[in-house]
Amino acid sequence: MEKMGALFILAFSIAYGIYAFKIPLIFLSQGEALNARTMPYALSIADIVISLLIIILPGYDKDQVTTVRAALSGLDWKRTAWLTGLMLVYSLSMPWVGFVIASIFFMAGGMMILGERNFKVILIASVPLVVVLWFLLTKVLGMYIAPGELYYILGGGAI
Amino acid sequence: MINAPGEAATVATAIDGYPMARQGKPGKALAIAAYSSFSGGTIAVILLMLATVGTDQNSGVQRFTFGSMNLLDGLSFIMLAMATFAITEGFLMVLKRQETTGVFKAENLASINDLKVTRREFRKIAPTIGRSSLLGFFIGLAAPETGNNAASSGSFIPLLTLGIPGSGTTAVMLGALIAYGIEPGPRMFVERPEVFWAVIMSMYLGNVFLLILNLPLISYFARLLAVPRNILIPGIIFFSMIGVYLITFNNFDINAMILIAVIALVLRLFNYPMAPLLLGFILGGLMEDNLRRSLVIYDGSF
Repeated sequence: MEKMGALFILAFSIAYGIYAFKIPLIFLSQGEALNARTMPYALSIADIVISLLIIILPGYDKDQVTTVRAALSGLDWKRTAWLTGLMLVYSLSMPWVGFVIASIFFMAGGMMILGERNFKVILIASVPLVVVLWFLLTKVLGMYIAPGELYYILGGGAI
Repeated sequence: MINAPGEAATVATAIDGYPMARQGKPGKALAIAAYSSFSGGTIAVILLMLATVGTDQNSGVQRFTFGSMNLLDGLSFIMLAMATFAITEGFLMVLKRQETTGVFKAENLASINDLKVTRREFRKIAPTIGRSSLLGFFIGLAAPETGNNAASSGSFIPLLTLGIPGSGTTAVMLGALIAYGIEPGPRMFVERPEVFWAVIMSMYLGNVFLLILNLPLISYFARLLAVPRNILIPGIIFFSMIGVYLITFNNFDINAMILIAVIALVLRLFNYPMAPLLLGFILGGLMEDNLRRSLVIYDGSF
């Protein structure tokens, strides 16, 4: 399994090394012993060498799992993918619907994805938590959390 | 080989390694340790790479920003820590369907609330506590909890005197000090004595408060185990995302955190450790700055 990870790291290091060539250099720094590109070059080469060594040298897997399929089977990928998608939706929707609504929907959605079907439990575990947190942050700690665009569309904040 | 771990982190290695050595497989034990360390080293280099994202402090050149304004200041340490530990842990709990919570019923919690230590038990553990306090300071072994707390103070020595974190905990501490514009090292004793002594005092006061808070609150901490995972996991992920969002109020950090968490999840599934990551990220910037400073002093000669 480590070899598979090393392959993943090797790909990352090669991509990093290619992008390191694209770092712009100012005229004076081109002759310097250590310029903006030096460290990325060194790190890229070091990681390529290390990951190649992991791939080439004999390895030891403490879990005795030799294939990727064996290591990744039996895992609940579907729910994890849904949860990741929900996180992304939360992040993208927050500027539009605001912190409170987006957070309540995230908590409720997360619980539903993980198998909670009792609507009362979902409501009790999400709404008070988010409202109390919002109150603590804005009213007690005095932090400014910008309301979403929806607030202004509905006429909030109008003088 | 001889069941004497050199530091707190190698205690776990000794648990597996020593029995293997006794079975006549010392070479295999050492090889496993070497392979594992190699993986840790690889992860550290990856994070050194991430530390180069942002504006180069010396020349002002943008590196790996892909034209995004959000990456000009580099990646946030808190965001990386949350993504690789908290969020990934939440993902793993979902992936492996571990019934890690909700298994503690009322009767289990009642037994957790039992705080009484009998005189006989105290007499039995007192020598170990004394011995481990001393040993833990230097090498951090024996009775785990005593050694643990003593070892964490010991690992502050290289941090405060040389500016080199000796453990993951002190790496986080170094990140916090740098965030406040304080550079740990020999000069810190002279330039910021108030910070130095505050750290020393806070370590001891922290121990006292740990005891005061731990004992009456044990039953409440234990009750966290009774929260069903359906509620706990979204809660962990929600607080991690909000913790990162409230620092910069920038949604980009949440998106980056999701991407890094997915990559960290893949690496964890491939048996790569995440602890060297924090060390690599914090030391990355320092390493480049100091190498550059040394080269300037020695006129560019390696």
